[in-house]
Parts: sequence; C-alpha cells; structure tokens
Amino acid sequence: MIEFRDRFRMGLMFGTLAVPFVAVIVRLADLQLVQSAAAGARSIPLKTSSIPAQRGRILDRHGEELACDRPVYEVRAEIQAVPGLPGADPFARVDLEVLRAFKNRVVTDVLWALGKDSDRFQDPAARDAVRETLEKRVIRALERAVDSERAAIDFLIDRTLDDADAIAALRSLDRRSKSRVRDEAVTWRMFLHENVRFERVYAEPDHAAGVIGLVRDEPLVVDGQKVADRRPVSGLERLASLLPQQDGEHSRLVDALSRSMWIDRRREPQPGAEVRTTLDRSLQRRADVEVARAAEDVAAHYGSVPEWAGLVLVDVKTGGILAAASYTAAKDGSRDRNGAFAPTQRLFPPGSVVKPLHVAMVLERGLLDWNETIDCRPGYLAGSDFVRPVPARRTIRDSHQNGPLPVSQVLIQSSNIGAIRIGLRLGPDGLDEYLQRYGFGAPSGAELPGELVGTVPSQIASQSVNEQYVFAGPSVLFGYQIQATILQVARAYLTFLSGQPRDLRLVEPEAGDQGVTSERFLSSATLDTVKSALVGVLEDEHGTARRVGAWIKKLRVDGYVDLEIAGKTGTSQYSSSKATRWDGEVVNGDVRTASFVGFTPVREPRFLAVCVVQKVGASSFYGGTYAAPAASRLLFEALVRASKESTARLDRSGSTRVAGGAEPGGSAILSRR
Amino acid sequence: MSHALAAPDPGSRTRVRELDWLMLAVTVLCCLGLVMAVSVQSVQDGGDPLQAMKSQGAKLVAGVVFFVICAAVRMEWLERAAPWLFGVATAMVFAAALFGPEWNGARRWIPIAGRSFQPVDFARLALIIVTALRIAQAGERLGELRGGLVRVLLPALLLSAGLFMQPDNGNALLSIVVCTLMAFAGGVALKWLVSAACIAVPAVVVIITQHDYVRMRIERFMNEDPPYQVRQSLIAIENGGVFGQGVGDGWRKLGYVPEPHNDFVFAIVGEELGFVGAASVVLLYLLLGFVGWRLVARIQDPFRRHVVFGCSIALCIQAAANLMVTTGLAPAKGIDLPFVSAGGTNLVASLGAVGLIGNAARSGLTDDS
Repeated sequence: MIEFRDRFRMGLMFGTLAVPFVAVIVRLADLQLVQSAAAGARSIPLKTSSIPAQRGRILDRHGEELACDRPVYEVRAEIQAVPGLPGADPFARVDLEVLRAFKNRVVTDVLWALGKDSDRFQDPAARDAVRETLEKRVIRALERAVDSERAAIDFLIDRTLDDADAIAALRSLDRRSKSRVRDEAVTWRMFLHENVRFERVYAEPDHAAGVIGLVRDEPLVVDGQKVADRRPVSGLERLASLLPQQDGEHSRLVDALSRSMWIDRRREPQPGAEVRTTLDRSLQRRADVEVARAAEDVAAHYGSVPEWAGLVLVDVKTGGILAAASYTAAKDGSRDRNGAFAPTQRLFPPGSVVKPLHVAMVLERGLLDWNETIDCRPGYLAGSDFVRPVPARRTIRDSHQNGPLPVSQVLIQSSNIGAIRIGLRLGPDGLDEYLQRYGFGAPSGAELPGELVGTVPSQIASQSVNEQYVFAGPSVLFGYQIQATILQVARAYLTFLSGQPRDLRLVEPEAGDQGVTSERFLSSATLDTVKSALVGVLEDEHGTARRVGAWIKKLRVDGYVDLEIAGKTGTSQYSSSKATRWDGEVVNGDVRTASFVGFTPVREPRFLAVCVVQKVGASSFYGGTYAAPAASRLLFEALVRASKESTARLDRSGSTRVAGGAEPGGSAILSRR
Repeated sequence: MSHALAAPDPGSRTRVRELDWLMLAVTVLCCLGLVMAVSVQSVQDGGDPLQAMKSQGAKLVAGVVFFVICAAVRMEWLERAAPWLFGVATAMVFAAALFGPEWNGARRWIPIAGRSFQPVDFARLALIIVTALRIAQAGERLGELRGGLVRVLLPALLLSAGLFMQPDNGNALLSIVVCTLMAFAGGVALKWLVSAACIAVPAVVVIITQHDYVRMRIERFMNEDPPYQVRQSLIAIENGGVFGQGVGDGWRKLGYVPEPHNDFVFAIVGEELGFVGAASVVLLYLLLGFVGWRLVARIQDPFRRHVVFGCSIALCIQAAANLMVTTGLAPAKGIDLPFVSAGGTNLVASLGAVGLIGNAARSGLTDDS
C-alpha cells in the first residue's frame, strides 16, 4: 500500500474530478427529464408539400378514355454568369455577339433535349415553331437580365412537358452544357419543377366537347373555400364525383441546410371517381359530324346557318345515351364549340313528334278504333269545333287541306286536326297523365349537370273548360305549350317504345343498381300498331319524311334488305318580336324548329335518334327535310356498327351462323346481301 | 527495439480485477462510438452506413493495435524511452505549428499520405509518461522548487508553448492541468503549486483572451447565452427525453448540431439514447476514473503509479470537458469525447492510454498488493 499522503492527494483528485460528472448527470436530468417534459416534444421540422389529386377519368361504354388527367411538368432553365451581362462582370460591356451566340446555343441544346422524344418533332414545322418560341423566350429573358443588371436569366422551356425521355435529357443538359461552355464561364442550372400538376386531356376534344365539357385552370371555390385547383365549367366534367377526393401530402425531413434527407411520411392522393358513361366514342364522333352536316344543309338552302341543332342517339334496351352532339352558330357563322349544349340546354316546342305518344294511349284505352276514319276536313278547326258547346274560339290548321283520314294517315301526314280529335278523347285527366307518363317537365334522368327541365301547362284537369278543350288541351296534343329539351323528347320516345316510363342514362349505374321498374301502360299490340304507322311516315307516299324513306329504299336495293326505320317528324313555329338570330341580331319573326325522332329496327327497337334544328325566319322549314336525314344516317351507322360487333362476337364464339336475322337476345340485326 | 517489445516476464504480471471493469467500460464506449459513427456519418453528404462502419472500424482496429502495443511494451523500456518519445512528439507539435497546413486559422495537423493527424494526442501521452518518470525520479526533491515543481512541469510548459503557437489553447490547458494534477498527486509542495498558479493563471488568461473568439465564447457563457453550436446541442439533448428518439432516429445531426460525429457526439447520444443512455455514458467515464483511483492506490512503483494516474486523469478530464461543453456547463471548446468521437488520432491515443494503464497496473501490482 502506498503512503497515506499520496493516497489522499490522488483520492482528492479523483474525487474532485467526479464533481463535473455528477454535474453533467444533474444537467442531463434537468434537460431531459424536466425541461423536455415541460416543453413537450419539439416538433420535427418537416416540410410538407401537397401532391395534387387527379380528377376522375371519364370513360365511354367500352372503357375507352374520353377525358383523363395527365401529369405535366413546368420546366424552367436558369443560367448564371452569362458572359456579356453586366452582373457577370461589372466592367464588361454587353457584347451582343456573345449574347446572340449564347442564345443560339441555348435554343439548340434545348431543342436537342426536347427532341429526345422522337414523336415531338417528326413534323419539321413543329420543330421550327418550338425553336421560334424558345428563341423569343431566351431573348426576352436576356433583355430582362440586361435591363435589371442581373447575372442570371430564367426562362420557360415548356409548361406542359410530360415526356420522360425529354425530361431526362433536359436534366442531362445541365452537365452537358457545363462541359461544353466551361471556357466561357456559363453555368446552366435546369429547374424541373417537382410539383407535378395535371392537365386535362380529351380523346375527342372537338366531337365530344359539349357532352364531356371542360375544366379551366382556375380554382374552384365553394362557399369561399377552395375545393379544387381546376374549375369544371360544363358537361359531365361538372359531376361532383369527378372532383379529386383529397390531395396527397409528401412530408420530407429537412435538415438545417434545406436538404431533403428522406421521405418521412407520404399520404397518397385520393383521385376523383371514375365515371363510366354510356357514350360510344365512335358514334359520338359520327353524331357530331351529322349534326354539323344538318347545319350545312340548312346553310346551303337558306344561305345562313341555323341558330342551333342537336342530335342524340339512345340505346333503347338500356336507356343509355350513346351520343349527344350539339351545334351552335357563332356570330361569324362558324361553329361555336363553347356554345350552349343543345341536347340539354335548348328548349323548344316539340311539335308533331308528340302525336304518336298520345295516340298510343288513346288506342291502349280502347277509345280509338285503329280502322276508324278521323274527320280532318276542312283542314282547320275553328271555334268550338273541338268540343261543343265551348264558346271560346280558336282556329288550328293543318299544313294542307285533308279529308277524312284513317288513324294511320293522321300520323303519316301529321294532321294536327286528327291528332287533336283523337287526343282529346283522353279527357283532361288523361292529358295530364299523358304529360306525366312521358316525363315532360321533368329531368330526363341523364343527370347531366346544367340540364333544363322545360315547362308544361299546369294541371289541365283543374283548369277551365276553355283551357281544357280549346287552348292548353289541344296545344299539348300537337306539341305546343310544352317546352322540352332534346333529351326529354328522347326520354318520351324511350318510354313510348318500352311501353312504360323510362329514364335516360348517361352514366353507367353502380354494380347492383337495377333501377326502378315502372308499370307498363302500353301493350305490345298497341305499340306494334302505332309503329306500323310510323314506318309509313318515312315510306308512305304522303309521309312527312318520305325523302328519307327514298334513301332507305335505295339502301335496301344496295343490299341492306332488313333496313327499316320508323319515326315521326315535327315542325313547330312561334312568332317572337325578340328572336335572336345566329349573328346576334334581334329580329321580329318566326322561330321554326324542325325535329325528327326515329328508331330502328322497328320490330324490336334498339336505337333511337332525335334530331332538332332551329332556325329563325325560315319558311318551309320541316323536320322531314332538315332533321330526319341526320338522325336516319346516324341510326343507320349505329345499326351497321352493331351488326359488325355482333358478327365479330359470333366469330369469336366459334358459331357458324352468318350475321343477320336475330341476335341471341332476339334483336334484329342489319344484314347485307 | 526487439528487447523493448519482448514478451513481459510472466512472473512480473498479475491479474487485476479492476482492469476487467476498465475494459468493460472502454469496450462499451468504443462500441457506442461505432454505432454513433454509423448513425451520424451515414446521413451526411454522400454518407453511407457501410462506409461509415468501415471507416470507424478501421480507426478502431488501429486503436486496438496501438492498445496492444502499449499494453505489451515493457515498462522499463518505456522509462528509458520516455524522454525520446516526448521529444519526438513535441517536435511534431512544433512542426505542425510551424509548417503544417492552416485550417480554420490553426496549424494543428500533419499531413501524411493524403491523410492528416493531430500529434497533440500522442504528445499528451508522451507528456504523461515523461512527467510520471520525472516525478518518480525526483523522489524526495519533489518538495523543492527547482528539483520538484519546475522539473516536473517543464515538459508540460514546453508542449504547451507549442500548442499555444498552433494555437490549440484547449489542449495546452489540458496538458498543463494534467501535469499539474500529477505533480500535486506526486507530492510537489502545495505552496509552490499555489504560487505557480497565482502567476500562471493570469498569464494563461491573458494569453488565451488575446483571441476574439475565445473572449466571445467566455462572454456568452457568462451571459447564459450559449453559442449556436451549444444551443443546438442542448436542444438535441432535450429532444432525447427519458429514453431517446432511438438509435439512428435523431434528427438534430442533420445539419443542426455542428460536428455531430466529433466534438458534439454526446449531444446525439443524448438525443438518440435519452437520459438513460447519456447518463450511462457519464457513469462509464466515472467508472473509468474509479478504476484508476483503485489502481493507483495499490501500485507501489512511483513511475507506474503516476502513469496510471496521469492516463486516467487525462481521459477523465477530457471526457468531463467534452461533456460539460456539450451540456452547456463550460464555454464552447472543441474537445473529442474519448472512445466515442470519430476522430481517429484521439481514439488511437485514448486506447493507447488504456493500454498503458493496464500495462502499468499489471506490472506494478503484485498479488500481495
């Protein structure tokens, strides 16, 4: 053992040294047990950035995309220490030659990078256009930099770049440029904005614009709160279900030098729901072409375009809208694709197209013998001829003088007098039921945002005798005092052809949604009887759509032997002192609406088309002339396509049956010999 | 050399139970250093966990090699070589001060083969050995001024002069303090020590306060306004709470706490292991000091006793200084935490000091003692 003195001194040293350690432990206790608990956990410096959620996709009935979001990047370039700029060297003069050479190199390099996407510049004109745009941007950025004496320029390369190859090439441009221009002290820095945004793209930007609608790059604000980055302005795009459910969040742990160290938390964005529509992309395209063609026919005859036109094709079996096209004239006579969507936002008196609807009801109730003759002389009804002894006077004329007509000819020749004489047999309650059964004045069921519901007379049964038998009653029987949309007329005929109230559909229902089955109010026998008359509308020598009938007969000669289309024309007119023409001029004149509702095949209708064209100040403007051809051509096109699909289906299933005759479901399919 | 590194005489060595505890403490601290290196360096720029592990592992291997050498070398040879070792080490300190590259306003490093090392850590080890030798040789003359105090402290003053030139005030002070404590423990008269302190302390204060940054650090410490690095360190420790954020899960190392792998590694320990872990580390250093005290109380040979005392006290003082700075109890000063900081030179030198303690204890203790 060493001496006590040495032990004491060394012990004293070690003991003294223990003091700081004890102090440190006390300090730790203070920091970690007391202060930490008192202050609570300090928040972690997370930088949270939002990940925008996509809008839902819009698909056609085959699952093809009609509208979808695609991610796009905004790509900017920042160039520092540009030679010749004052900021780069305070004593240097701006050297225009250097700047010009520099600009050329920047544009060349960027074009090279963008050209990595081989599809981008297949067209030399497109490449020249991009070059020109880039040159302008670089020059503008250079000018700004010179004016503000900055040594860096910042210019936009592309706002909607979505090509991975091009983005990668632009990233590599940074390194590439440095090595190439090191001697000139030019440094490139490419900024690829990480905040992806979405751009709405449409498969049929022209042909389906009306029904699909569009979104604008401006925030959607509801009750003062921003709901989405983009605002839907029309069409299906306004469906609430398409709205992004919830933006995602991307949290990064960021250190003191603003370096993102790693992804700490990520909440995936919740996109909007996918909307599967009943639309058929190819038929929609065809409908759009046909409605434009109808407008051209009007323009060719009258020298000016119609105010608007609309064409709708419906699948009778499902009630789904296969195509809905709209034509609106701009003030310069061209087509305005941003105008009101005619099938849902234009109201018109449907006119004679409603006649088969109530005739069928009268027939179904046994109030009419199909073989009886209706007195349509002398071509007009005057005063109390409707029902005696009503004192009120009103004259209703047919377009031409008729004699006594069989019921079928009342429809074929579209006699107003005959239709009224037949329809009034329903009585006031029956008239109300007629309007209600066919859904006039009610939404069509398509649930297309912005759809108008139109107007009908208030309950006829509760009105005066004059109204019941002279004014409102007779009017609704030949399509007046009713304001309807094209979709409502289509729905009325869908109901008629089904014998029971039906709704249209534009969006496929959720799985398991069977819809509501209504009570049938028209028997098959009644329908077959009325439909036979509607065939005559096209094929009878007195039929109002006999021109279309001639075209159908020609197609039969060409081989489409099964082709049969039935339908009803309608022509309505009303005088207005403030009728607005296509060129914006307000005139005092007649507003004429030509319409046609057709369906095919007749025996078991599969397709239903409604075409409506409206023109201000046109005489002799009939549905059989201007609306029926477009609707019939579309029906024929739909039939041909269905036939091809059926053939392909049979071929795939290995059947030896030749297309034609009846489908497995029983529907007749067009065949050609 | 072959004589010096010859196998020690088994008869002169004995098993010392305290050394087991010492090795336990050092091993745990070294492992902690390895874990913290991976935790901290893997998230630095270009960091990679495997690379961090390899880098720190290589330093540890070098340290273990040096530890074995120090533990195996014969103490008699060390007695003879001590002046030479000290001379070489001090010359390197002066060489660094005069010819070394200047980094952050100081010349403390000697570049060798693309790497650099600080000779001060080895110089301090040599200083302890030579000081222990001088105390042992002074014998009864320790009570005198010239034969005692001056003789014992002369090497420390010489080394400190070189360190002040670099400048490395912290290590200079540390060297003086260690040697002064060794002198006091060795038996230098208290009156001379107090007298010397009356002269040296003001002189040192004057010298070190010539530097603005030193003055500023002291002023901020006195005003309870810790500098940025200490403030960040305190926040990190505070974040640890009782059980810490978890190994690798601390985030103050991400650019907030400066030198999180070196001077302020204890802040990261505190954040990731919490009070439980940090206090355990402190207790391990206390254990190291306690073992040192237990050993010196039993070693009869003055040279070996003072080597153990010097090494133990140096490690403890260095640890205490680091811990106090990190916890805001002392003005900011860059000092490595022995065994835990990633500095390779310090790790090797610290393990060498442990080797010396073991060597001196095993050769200086007999079963009787």
